[in-house]
Amino acid sequence: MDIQLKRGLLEVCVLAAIRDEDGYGYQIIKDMKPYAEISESTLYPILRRLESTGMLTVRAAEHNGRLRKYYRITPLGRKRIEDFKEEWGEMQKIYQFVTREEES
Amino acid sequence: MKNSNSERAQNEQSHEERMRTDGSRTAAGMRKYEFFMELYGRLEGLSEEDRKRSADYYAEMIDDRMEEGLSEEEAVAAVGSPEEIARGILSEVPPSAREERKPRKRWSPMAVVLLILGAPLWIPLLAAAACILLAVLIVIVAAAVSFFAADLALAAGGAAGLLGGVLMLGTGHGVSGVFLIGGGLVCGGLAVLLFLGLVYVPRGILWLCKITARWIGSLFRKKEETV
Repeated sequence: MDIQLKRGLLEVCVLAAIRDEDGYGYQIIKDMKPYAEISESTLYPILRRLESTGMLTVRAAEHNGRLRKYYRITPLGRKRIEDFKEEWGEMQKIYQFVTREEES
Repeated sequence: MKNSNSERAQNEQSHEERMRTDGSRTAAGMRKYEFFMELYGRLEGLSEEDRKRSADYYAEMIDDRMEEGLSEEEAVAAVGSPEEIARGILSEVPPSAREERKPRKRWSPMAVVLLILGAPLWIPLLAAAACILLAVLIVIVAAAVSFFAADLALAAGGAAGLLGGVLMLGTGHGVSGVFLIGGGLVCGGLAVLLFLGLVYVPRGILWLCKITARWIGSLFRKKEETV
């Protein structure tokens, strides 16, 4: 898949993974697994970028004697998800155009 | 608990195998300590903060996998090789974050030339600004001094009124006496109020200045972060 497209899609996927409740890194990977394969090294820059653009916040919480980072979606992140839903309609139209019947 | 004797023997064996087959290291069989040593080393050039953040992230990933039942080596292998990870992280970092420290102190020759050429303009302007600041300072001090003088006068008047009023009461001039005492009390009260104002108002102004400066500072800091 086109790198830029994939990155954008994965970003909104990660946001969707923490849409209903806070999640930690490995949990996000597991939640996304049935839908999209993402490795730790791919997830890391995505999380950093989402944080720097204000779409999620990070907090550290204690778990089994170590500190775990939990990610929480922000209103800006929710808006990104909404925008994605709107963009999907446009994408469908483009797909229809690209896959239209060949003219004889 | 995790490493029984048989597991430990296996670990040592895989370590030897790793060293035996090729001189270089492979990800399989690497343990946490080695992983982080290599990752940290490969992230040289990044800020301390970024390096620690990356290390924390992968430490969490490895620990989470170990919690699910993987062994340390398997967990380390699952997150990828330090080389690939470092390459990915370094490629993501914008060049500004890396070389931030060096160019900041050096002045570009263009800037120096402009500075010198513009000197006839900005030196007088700077001097004028300094004079204005000095004048403002003098005005403030003068105002403070006059306020204090007025305060002192009020206090003196109040004391005189009280004293005189009491004397008048004593010598039989009741009405005038009471009047003087009343006037003296009013002066005294005003003096106290003025004094309190002189003490607390400057403090309040300084506090307002501090808050405003901090707020302005935070605006600049936010701009730096969103780049």
